[in-house]
Amino acid sequence: MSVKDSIVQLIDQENVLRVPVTEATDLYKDLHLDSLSFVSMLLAIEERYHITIALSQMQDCLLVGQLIALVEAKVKERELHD
Amino acid sequence: MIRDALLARWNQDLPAVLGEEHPVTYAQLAERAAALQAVLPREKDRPVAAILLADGSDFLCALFAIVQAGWIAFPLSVHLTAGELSDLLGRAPVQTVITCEALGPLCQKAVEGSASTPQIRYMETLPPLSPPWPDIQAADPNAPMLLLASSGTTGRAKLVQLSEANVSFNVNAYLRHMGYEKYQDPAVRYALGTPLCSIYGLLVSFSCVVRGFPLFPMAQGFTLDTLYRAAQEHGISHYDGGTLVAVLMDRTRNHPIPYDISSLRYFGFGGSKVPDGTLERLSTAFPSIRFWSGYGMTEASPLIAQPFRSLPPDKLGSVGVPLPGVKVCLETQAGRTSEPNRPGEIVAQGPNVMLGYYGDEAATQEILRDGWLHTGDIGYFDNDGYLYIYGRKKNMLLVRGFNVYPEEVETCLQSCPLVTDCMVYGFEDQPGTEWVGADVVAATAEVTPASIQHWCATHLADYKCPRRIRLVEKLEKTATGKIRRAQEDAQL
Repeated sequence: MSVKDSIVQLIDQENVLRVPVTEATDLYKDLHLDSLSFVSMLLAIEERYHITIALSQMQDCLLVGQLIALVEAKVKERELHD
Repeated sequence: MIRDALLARWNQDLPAVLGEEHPVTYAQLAERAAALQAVLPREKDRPVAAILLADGSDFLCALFAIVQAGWIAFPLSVHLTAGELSDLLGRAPVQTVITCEALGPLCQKAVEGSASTPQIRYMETLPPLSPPWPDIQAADPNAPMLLLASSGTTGRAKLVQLSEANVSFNVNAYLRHMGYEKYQDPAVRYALGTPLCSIYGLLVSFSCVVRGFPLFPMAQGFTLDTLYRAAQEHGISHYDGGTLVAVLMDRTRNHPIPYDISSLRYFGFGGSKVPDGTLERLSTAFPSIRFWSGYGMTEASPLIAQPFRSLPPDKLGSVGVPLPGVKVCLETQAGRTSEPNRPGEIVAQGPNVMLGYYGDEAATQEILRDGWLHTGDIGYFDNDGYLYIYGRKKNMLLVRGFNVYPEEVETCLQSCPLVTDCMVYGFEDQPGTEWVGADVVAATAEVTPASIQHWCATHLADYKCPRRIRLVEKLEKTATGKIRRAQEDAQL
């Protein structure tokens, strides 16, 4: 499964209102995630991809597209180092 | 006391509110509060003014203007829907609602749907203040000063009446307990992670004004990054608020923090119990920070117990000791006791206990029976007199620090045309997080959980909306037709 599909699947687990998830979806405003759900989801992503998302970066991935781009970049970076 | 605390700082150019475009000084805050007070007419009977404002300096201006004018302040949550606000506005003789243009449409809708017709006043259209400033109106310290909505177990909100004496007692006790001088906290600057309209937020705000500390309200859209950045940029030393921040700090304690947070000295938590072991891990990870939990409820304005100037490492799981002057006992089947290791319902007596619920004598008698405030929480004292919270007797959920009564959500769901019957309960998907769940008997076969959730989103504040809805064929009832919630909770 691609990073994008995998992240969308994780988000869907938190998607209480069942709104369609696109790259423009705002996790706070559209999905009403609170900070705990948001951080828990990011930690699950970290664990799944063996990456670390810095606290300051967490602020910059509130849009699904931003989150996917960040994780893809970190996965690529990790693969280069491996 | 409390009502004159802001005016006493009328000439102080110290920062009062942080986190806005420009820091707001105490002098500016006092002047704006006086300007608003000047337009509130003097009246013999203490009128009620509601506040519908987001957290920030406008909220504090409105709060102090109202109490300086001798009126009763009725803070409302901006998270509520227009319908919920209408209901609250119709429950008390609200003469004025103070709001801002951004919240104007919500406020107007709420007022239109309300049984009363209060005047709406916008913060943006305050006339300039010309000297002399209005006097603080004399008011009986034992008369109501605050009205606070507390969801009731009958599904309708109750309005807690707190006097200036109630609040003043608690503010003084809080400040005495903190031990700023003992710990030589260099420059006390508060971050507040709970809404200003809650009694916890009000306690910290009043305490800050009494001592002249700057306050950074950050409950709205709270993130750890905001807090850590505020620590670096504003030198935040103290945090008070919900337990969410403890859970977040615990989960991310192995992440490097890209800010200088060396100014942080103290974290105080309330609202719900911090998951076991969390404070011990945080104390190890952040050795220069004190992590304390307190205990209280709106009806006790709010503090009942708090660590007194210190908390031994082996007592981190406790909520401290009863406030001096507040009598706390455990009500057991064998009677009231303060002996160690005897779990029972926590009951309290003291100057912090509310005057009663507005217009609801029956509910007041129920919670204040035999002269004791019955908290509905189960606790026990250890051998050293520290109080531990053990569980809840009352049927209340704590969602992100907000109180949610299942009956209130059920009342709402039962008015939904998609629902024939329902039962609302709490569930945890991870330690320290409680959510609203609902079992629903659908009105037709076509009804989906999503359609019910959409309906809830337009009728209930977001924290009250069920996160999980299960469709069931029927609900088990008692002989008198009541839902067997206790059994369902136990199964969950």
